[in-house]
Amino acid sequence: MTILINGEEHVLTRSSITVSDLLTHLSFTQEKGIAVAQNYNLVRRSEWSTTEIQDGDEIEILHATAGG
Amino acid sequence: MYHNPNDTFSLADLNLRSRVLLGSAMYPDRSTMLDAISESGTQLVTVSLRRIPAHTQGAENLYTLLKNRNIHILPNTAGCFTAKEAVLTAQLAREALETNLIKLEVIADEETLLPDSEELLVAAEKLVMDGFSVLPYTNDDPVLARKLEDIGCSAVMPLASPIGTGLGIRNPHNIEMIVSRANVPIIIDAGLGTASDIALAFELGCDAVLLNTAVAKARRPIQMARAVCAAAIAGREAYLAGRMPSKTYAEASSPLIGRAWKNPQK
Repeated sequence: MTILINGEEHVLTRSSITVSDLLTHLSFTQEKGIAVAQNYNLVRRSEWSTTEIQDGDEIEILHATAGG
Repeated sequence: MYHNPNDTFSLADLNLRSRVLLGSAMYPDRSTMLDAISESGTQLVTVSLRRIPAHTQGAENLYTLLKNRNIHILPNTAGCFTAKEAVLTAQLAREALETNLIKLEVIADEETLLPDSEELLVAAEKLVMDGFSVLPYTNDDPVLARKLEDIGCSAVMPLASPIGTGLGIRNPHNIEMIVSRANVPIIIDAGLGTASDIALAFELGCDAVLLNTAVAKARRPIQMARAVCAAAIAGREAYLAGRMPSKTYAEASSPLIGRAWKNPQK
């Protein structure tokens, strides 16, 4: 399947993946301080392990950066 | 730095000693930012929510960096042009940074960076209903300030002048009017350029100031952070002390009674 992660196309060999597994796959091991949106909806941390990402999904993975 | 122990600043569920809120952007480097934060005395620092770059594991992130220094985090919705974007950004910020506080910015256009008042009200209402402590960045408009308070915002943050201009408080009368009608903290956000601007904000009765560029883009940011800290305390203490009445004509400080040479011969 093909998904967009932070605006970039990623091709994965499987047909679906949970948010948790995607974060591990991307080596984002530190869970603190990040948030995930799927198709413009927040995915709560408690739902990461049960939320399936499908082909064509747009995923945003955000963290705190410098800001005023 | 001197702090009046009887003068704490209550903002949402925080009780703060410092009345300075500081941004974390545009410093020459991270160590200057951390030193400036420390010298300013601030306990609440703003951050933005942005895409995490690939391969960031291992690097100390801003969240951890601030948390480890016992600094409270105030996420913003900078870069949002619609209520919808701002609400989603706020929800993501709450999830990522474990805080209900949100500095709500809904910008009308990139040239002025002035707030879009209609979208701001819509977003503020949604976020208040969703349990956020909303701190809206707004125009120096007393009517809008009142509406934001009525919606349930935890504070109102009128601009001094447009973001990043350092032009200082362009309409002190409006700020005074906002303060006089408010029952929530008024925080001057954006446009403050230097120490005198900050002192004036407090002398007008504002409860706190939020600034970034004034410190980050000073020739010596750490020194300016110290000046900001001192100016905030000076302005706030002067406000609490109550200034003398202004007069049109001079009034001698030294008594005239008892002076020598009462009628000097010319």
